[in-house]
Amino acid sequence: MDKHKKYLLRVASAIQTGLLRQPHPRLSDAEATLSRLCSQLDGLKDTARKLSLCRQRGWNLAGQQLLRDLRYTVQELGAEATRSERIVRNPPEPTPPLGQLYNELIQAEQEFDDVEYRRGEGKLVVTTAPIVLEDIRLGRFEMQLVLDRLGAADHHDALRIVALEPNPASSDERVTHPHVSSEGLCAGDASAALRAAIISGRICDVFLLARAVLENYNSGSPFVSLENWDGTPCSDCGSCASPDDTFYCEGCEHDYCNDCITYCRSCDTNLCRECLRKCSLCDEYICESCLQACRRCGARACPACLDDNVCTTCIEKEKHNEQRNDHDQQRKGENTRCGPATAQAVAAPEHAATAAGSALHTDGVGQAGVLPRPRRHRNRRVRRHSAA
Amino acid sequence: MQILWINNDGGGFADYVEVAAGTTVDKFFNEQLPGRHAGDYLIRVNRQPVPRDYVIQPGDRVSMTPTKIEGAAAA
Repeated sequence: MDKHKKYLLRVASAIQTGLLRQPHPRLSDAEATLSRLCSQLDGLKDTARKLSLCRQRGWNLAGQQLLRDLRYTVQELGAEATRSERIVRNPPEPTPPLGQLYNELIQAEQEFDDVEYRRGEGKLVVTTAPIVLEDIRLGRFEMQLVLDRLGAADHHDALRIVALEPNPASSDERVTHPHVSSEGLCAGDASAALRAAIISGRICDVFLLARAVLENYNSGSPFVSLENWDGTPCSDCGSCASPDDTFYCEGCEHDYCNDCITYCRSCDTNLCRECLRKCSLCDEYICESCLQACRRCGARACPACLDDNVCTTCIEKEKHNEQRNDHDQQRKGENTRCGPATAQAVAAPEHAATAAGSALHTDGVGQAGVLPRPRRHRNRRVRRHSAA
Repeated sequence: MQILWINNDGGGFADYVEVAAGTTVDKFFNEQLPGRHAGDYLIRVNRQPVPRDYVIQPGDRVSMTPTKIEGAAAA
């Protein structure tokens, strides 16, 4: 027997041991379905006890509700029993014979230039040709089959994809290929076929399938799209943007995409949403440095809502108070001139207004309601209403 | 006659199937994977590449592996 054949047989033996070492996925499937069956049966026992109680105590309404709930449980139990029956009935996948594994290795050497068994690491490693997707060079990849993980339920554990000349996505260094993250291949449409190939020891098919995934690009579901491979990730939404569509926030000094950047409505500085504040008066977004406190009430407002560091609300209040003071002054003056009758007329201005032009009698209480009011006074009242 | 057919498309399975005598690889491909393009598959008979007019023999091992598979970001 030549040296190379001996070597291949040794590798085939290691693969066979790897396939035997881990619990077969069929065992874990059987364990899972039986465990679900047991818990459903426990639930049924509990329901049976409750039903008995309902019957003994005459709780018909509760009993009816229990039966309604039971309908779903019984349906599920039937489906689970069918699943269990299928798993138990199907013959176990036989461990591939050494000869088949040997032939797999021979085929792998024909299909790939570089096949290497790393005994110390317990890995069978196949190297791809340099991969270029949509003009982006991703380099060569090592497809590493971890032999003592061959029986794992998830193919991610058994197959590692290592970039030899990594050109990772700028937004995530773990992503060395649109469908590889942290050395794990997301095989997409090939997932089921990969798992089947691993379980049945079709080692060469495993590598062929993995290579087919690596050599193609599914723009619909990448870890990072090739379109954004060299782009800058947005600090807010995480999406990548080309340099032309990336904006720098002068507040937090991070990069943002076109959708997440905004600006100060006062000074037009580019800022992210986190770095902007709201004017308490007009609700416009303003940067911290443009926001000032009203020296009267302390409200933080934008320059447009402040006049000489006084906010528009305080200015309005001030005007209102001035007008009220004027009004009060006027009333006091009239009270001094006209006496109590005039005071009542002021208190009831609508009456006074309707009686405009009537004679004023300072001592005639009965005439107070028809007191004419001075034109100046009436005009001021109208103005205050319009201001309000 | 019976052959072992390994279909790595979709779920991926290996099974023995009946094939009429004189069936070529091309014909077998079109029967098993109708509507697909043979150029998108790596077809091997007894682990070796064969011409499309190769006549399948009893006991042959025929495998078909897609070369254009869409990966994903999440399994």
